[in-house]
Amino acid sequence: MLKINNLHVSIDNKKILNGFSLEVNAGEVHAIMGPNGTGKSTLANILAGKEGYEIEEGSITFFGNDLLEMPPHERALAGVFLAFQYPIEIPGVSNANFLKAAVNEKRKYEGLELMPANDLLKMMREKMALVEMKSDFISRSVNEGFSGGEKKKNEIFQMAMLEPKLCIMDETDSGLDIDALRVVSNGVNLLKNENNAFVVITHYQRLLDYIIPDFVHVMYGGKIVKSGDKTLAYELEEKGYDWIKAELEPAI
Amino acid sequence: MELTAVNREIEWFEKEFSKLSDLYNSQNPSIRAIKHEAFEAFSKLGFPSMKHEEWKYTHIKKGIDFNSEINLNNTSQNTDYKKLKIDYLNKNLNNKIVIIDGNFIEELSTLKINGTEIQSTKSAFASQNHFLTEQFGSFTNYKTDALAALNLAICNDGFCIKINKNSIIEDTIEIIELITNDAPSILNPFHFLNIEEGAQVTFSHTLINQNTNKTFYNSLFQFYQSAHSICNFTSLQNLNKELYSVENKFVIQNSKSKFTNNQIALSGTLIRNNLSVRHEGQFIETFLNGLICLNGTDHVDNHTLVDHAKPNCYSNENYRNILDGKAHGVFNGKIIVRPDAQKTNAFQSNKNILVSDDAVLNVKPQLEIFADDVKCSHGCTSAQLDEKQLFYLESRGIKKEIALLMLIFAFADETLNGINDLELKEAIEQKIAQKLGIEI
Ligand SMILES: Nc1ncnc2c1ncn2[C@@H]1O[C@H](COP(=O)(O)OP(=O)(O)OP(=O)(O)O)[C@@H](O)[C@H]1O
Ligand SMILES: [Mg+2]
Repeated sequence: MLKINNLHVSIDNKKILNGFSLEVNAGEVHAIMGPNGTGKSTLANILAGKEGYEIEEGSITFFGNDLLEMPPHERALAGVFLAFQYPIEIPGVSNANFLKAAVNEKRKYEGLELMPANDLLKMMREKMALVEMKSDFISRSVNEGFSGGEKKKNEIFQMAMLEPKLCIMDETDSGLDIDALRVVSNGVNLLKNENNAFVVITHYQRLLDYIIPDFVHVMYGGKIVKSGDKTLAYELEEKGYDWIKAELEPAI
Repeated sequence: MELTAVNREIEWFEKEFSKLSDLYNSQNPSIRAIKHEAFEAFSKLGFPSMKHEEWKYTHIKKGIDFNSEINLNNTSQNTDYKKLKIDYLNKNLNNKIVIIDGNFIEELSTLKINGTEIQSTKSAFASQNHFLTEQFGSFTNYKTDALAALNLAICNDGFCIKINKNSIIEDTIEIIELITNDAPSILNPFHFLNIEEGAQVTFSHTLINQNTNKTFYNSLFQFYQSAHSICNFTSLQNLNKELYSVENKFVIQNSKSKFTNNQIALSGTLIRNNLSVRHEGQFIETFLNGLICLNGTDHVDNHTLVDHAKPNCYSNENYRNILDGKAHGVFNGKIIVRPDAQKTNAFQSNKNILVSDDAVLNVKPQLEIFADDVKCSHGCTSAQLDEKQLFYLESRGIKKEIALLMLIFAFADETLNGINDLELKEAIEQKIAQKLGIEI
C-alpha cells in the first residue's frame, strides 16, 4: 500500500528526515515511537501533503502512485487520512457542513451519487456514537472550543466517516483520559479490517494495549533506527530511549 | 464648467418639482411645509459630486438621467401585480409589505397584522392626523444631506407601519421593494417605522429589480423607536444592473431600546447605504452588522453614523467586505460620543478579504469623542485566509478552491449572528452560498 523509500527532508535548510524508509501493507498496524522532535509529525504531515517541506531525496508511493505528486485533497480521496496531533479550529464551518463536503467529494471521486442529507445525518449519528460523542457536536463549528480530548475524538469520528485506507494517527492518545482512550481505541478497532492499514504515532505503550501493533518502529534523528514487534514497546516504556541511543553511538 | 452642470441639474430638479404642486395640494399642510423646506435645501445642495468628502468614491450622478422626467403618476397602475414574479425570501411568511416601483401595493400586502397599523405613505400624507405627521423628516438632516432632502421633497408613497405599544410581533414582517421595467427613472419612496413603547418586531427587507432601463432609487426609512422597544431589521440587496440605489436609514432610539440592522449586499452596479442612528435616551443598545460580498465591477458604499448623545449606551458595529474581481467596497463608519454621553461603550470592527488583486476597498473609521469616561474601539483588518485551516479541509478530500470558498463563507457567516429569525438567516446563508457557488 505505502512505500516510503530513503526520504530526506529539510525545512529552511534544517534536516528533519534523514533517510526514512517504511513499507506498510493492507491489514497491518505499525506503531512509530521516538523522542520529541525526531520528525514523526513531519513525516505524517508530508504524507498528508502539507506544503513547506523540501524533499531532497527519496520517494513515497501509495498503491503504486507517486504520492508526492498529488495535491492534498487527492491524497485524501485516494485513501490517506491523518488524524492530526493538533487539530485545527475552523470557526464558522459546522462539523455537519464540513463532513457533508468531505463525504460527497469522496463519493464523487468514487463515482457514486451524492449522499442524501438524511442518510448523511444518520451516518454521522452512528459514527459519533462509535466514539461516544454527543450528537450536538454535529452543528458546532469544527473543533472550535472543543476540549483537547474532544478534538481527538472528532478526528477519529472523521476517520470513521471517510473510511480511509491508510490511517495515520499522530499522538491521538495524548490528551485523552483513560476512559476516552478505551473508547477511541475501540472505535479504531472496529474500523480496522484486512483492506486498511494504520500508522500509529505515540509516546505511550498504553495505547498499544488496545490497538495492537504488528510492528513497532523507533524513530530517531529523522529515520527508523530499530524495528520489532509489540514487545519493543514494553521495552521502551521500561527503559526509555537511552539504550537505543547507546546502541547507535558506536556506529556514529 | 462644474457650476453650469450643477445649475443645469438644479434647474431640471426645479422644473420637475414644480409639476408636483397639484399633488401636494392634497397633502397635510405640515407635511407640505417640510417638503417645501426639503425642496429649498436640495435646490441649494444639488446632487453630491465626487468632490464632496462623503461621496468621494461613489459617483451617484451617473445613476441619474437628467433628460428624464420625474414621473409621479402610478405608471404601472394597470399592471396585474399578482402576475409579477416576486422572489420572496421566506415563502411561508404571511406578513408582507410589498412596494413596487416605489408604490405601496395593497393587493399584495398584509394590511392586518395583529398589534400593528399599516398604511401607504400616500394616504398617511393625505390624512390630517397620522402617527407620521409629527415625525416626518424630523431627524433626517435634510438641510445638509442632499439625498435625504431629495427624497423628502418629492416622495409621495411607500409604507408606514406602527407597532403598537407592548405588542410582540411573533412572525417576521417581510418588506419587498421591487423595481419593474415600468418604473420611472427616478424613484423616492418614503417609509416610516414607528415602534411604540415595549413593542418587539423583526423585519426582513429585500430590494430586487427587474428593470432594464437605468433607474435611480433613492429610498428613505425613518425609524422611531420608543423606550423598551426591540427592532431587528435585515436588508438584503441583490441587484441586477441598471439600478442605482441609495438607501437612507435614519433611526431614533429612546431609552432601553434595542436596534439591530443587518445590511447584506450581494450585488449591485452602484449601492450607497446611509445608516444613521441617534440615541435620545439611556441604556440603549445598537448593533450594526454588514456583509458585502461582491464580484465583477459591483460597487457598494456603506456609510454609518452612531450618534451617542446620552450616557450609558452601547453600540457594536461589525462590517465585513469580501471583494473579488474588480469590485469596489467602501466603508465609512463614524461614531460620535457627545459630551453628555459618559459611560458610552462603542465598538467598531471592520474585517475584509480581497480575493482578487483588482478589487478595491476604501475604509475610513471616524471616532469623534467629546466625553472622557467612555470605552471606544475600532479595528480594521484585511483578513488573510488561514493556511492551516485550508490544509485541514484539503486533507479531508476537499479541493483547495472549494476549501477557500468554505472559509470565505464562514467569514461571511459570522456577520449574520445578529439575525434573530433563524429561517431568515438560513435563507440568506443560501443566497450567500449560491453567490459563492458552494453548497451548504
Ligand atoms: N515549520 C518548521 N520550521 C522549523 N522547524 C520545524 C518546522 N516544523 C518542524 N520543525 C522541527 O522539526 C523537528 C521535528 O518536528 P516534529 O514535529 O516532526 O517532531 P515530532 O517527532 O513529531 O515530535 P513530538 O514527539 O514532540 O510531537 C523539530 O525539531 C521541529 O522543531
Ligand atoms: Mg509530533
